Amino acid sequence: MKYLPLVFAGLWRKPARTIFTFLSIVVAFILFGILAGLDSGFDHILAVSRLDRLFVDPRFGGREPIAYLDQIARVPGVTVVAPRMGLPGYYRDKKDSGGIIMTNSRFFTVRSEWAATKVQALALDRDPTGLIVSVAAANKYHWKVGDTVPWISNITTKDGSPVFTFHIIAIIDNTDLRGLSNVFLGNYIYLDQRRVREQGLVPVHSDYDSLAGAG
Amino acid sequence: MNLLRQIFVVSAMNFRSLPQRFWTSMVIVVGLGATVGVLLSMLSMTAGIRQVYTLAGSPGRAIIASLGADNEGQSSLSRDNVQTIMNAPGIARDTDGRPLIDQSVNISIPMLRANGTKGFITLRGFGPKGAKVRYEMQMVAGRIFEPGKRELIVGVGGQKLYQHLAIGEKVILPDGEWPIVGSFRSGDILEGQLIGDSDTLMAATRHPNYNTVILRLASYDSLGELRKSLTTNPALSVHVERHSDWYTKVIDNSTSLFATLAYAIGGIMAIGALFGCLNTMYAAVSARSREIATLRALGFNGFPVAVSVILEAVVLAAAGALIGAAIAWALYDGKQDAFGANVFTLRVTPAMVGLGIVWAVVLALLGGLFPSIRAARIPIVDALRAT
Repeated sequence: MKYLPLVFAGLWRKPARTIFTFLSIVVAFILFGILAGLDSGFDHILAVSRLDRLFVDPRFGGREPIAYLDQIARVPGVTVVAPRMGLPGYYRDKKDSGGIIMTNSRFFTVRSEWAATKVQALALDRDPTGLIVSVAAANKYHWKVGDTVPWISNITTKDGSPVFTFHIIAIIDNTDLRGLSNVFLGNYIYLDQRRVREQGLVPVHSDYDSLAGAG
Repeated sequence: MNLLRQIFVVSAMNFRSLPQRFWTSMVIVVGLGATVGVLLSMLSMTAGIRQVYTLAGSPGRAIIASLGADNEGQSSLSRDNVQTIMNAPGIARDTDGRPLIDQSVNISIPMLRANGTKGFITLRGFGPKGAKVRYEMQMVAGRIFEPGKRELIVGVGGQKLYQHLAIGEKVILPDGEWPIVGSFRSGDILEGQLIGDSDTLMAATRHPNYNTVILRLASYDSLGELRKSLTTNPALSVHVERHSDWYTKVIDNSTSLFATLAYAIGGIMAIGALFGCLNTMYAAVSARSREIATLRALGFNGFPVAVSVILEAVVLAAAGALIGAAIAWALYDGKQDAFGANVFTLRVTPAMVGLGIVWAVVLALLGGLFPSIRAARIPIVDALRAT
């Protein structure tokens, strides 16, 4: 301890040098912190991802008929299957685009970390224009249950209007990643009724897949 | 003695004393070497992606995609759509009088990479005039596929990155095995792809629609005429773009994240290197204070002394940048990688090396400025007494 004043005096003999050395160390740790944060973020996503859940998509791209869902459900070991299709578009701001996952109540059985009550899940099946959103999304857009959400999409509809009008029936959270992701869940039937092309097909690309929960 | 000569003499003297300050000077060289090395390594990916798309996007070609599609895979055009497009004005014609259009399909299929990891490769379908529309393609071995037959050709880049794509090997599709009958070079995005006949591929993979139409324009200025004809046609819902403009958008979509990350990490490292540079130059000035005071006492102006300090910082920084760039180049330039199902070659270009040197020089100017002011203002009498 008795050398501490000496160390201190030494440090302040050349104050500029001490400050710059200190600052470059600070910068190094900021960079390390950011990268370590990213890394542990990815690790966390991996850690909470489920091994008992499968994504099913056609090996050679393209679309998968919705009728396949029943066939997949009959495969031994599969407990529940949910369709999942993206409805790309935006709410108000064209630059802030995203996708609504068009699915049905079984989505919540497959992805149980989305904590919807049974009543909320079944409400989605009964209501073609119902929309369930995550807490993060509701906060971002200042939505509450009952609000109307006009979603402007670029897909071709039968009536020619690009607008899908949803109303919010529930606001739920992801128990693994609380308050983090913007997620919108709609009723698959609403999309199938309105689109011109590819009715009855679940389009499949890397992130628009059918989800199969294996038992 | 004029000012330039003074600057030269003082700087030369300064550089001669550099070996005595070798290890502290290395802080600048290593700091900026690391910064530039990391920046260019990260940018080599965006540069590679940019290169393959830029080379693919000929301004003499146009692409027609369904409205709202950001990439070829999202676009969908029916056979009727393609027939309508074929009759549109502004399209170049082949010697047989038929329009030079390529009704293409774009499928990504799973494929094992040469390093054993699972990846995807783009399987592209060409229309009957495909090879004439994409005239950059040159067969290097074997022959081109025959329309109507289950045959594929593969780009040399794809052959290097994925397993089992030599001529004679077979790719398994839903309706059976498709032999590879030839390989080609094109220098662009096609070089990492498998190519077969569109209609045959669509039947095999049960794709009812084409993805896009790529065509050769009758002349550079024919685009307006073609666009007007297609976008005012109520039977179509498409957008028509010059092939080069289409790829500019694709490049922005696929590289902006990497570029932002590269500049963010490079920027943070640059700030660290800047502090290191300041430190080193202050130390250099302090180590040389007796020498500087002597020079001043002999009648040298403060300005050449200040310039010599900045010059030292700049030379050390530029040397560091060159070393960093050389390491990035040696590690990554020419290496093949895939982004999704698109194969590209990592690139460290002379322009990027230039960018690295500019970064280093700017940082050295900033890092040398304050120490140089200190050097110019050293109180002569005090400094002469310094030990």
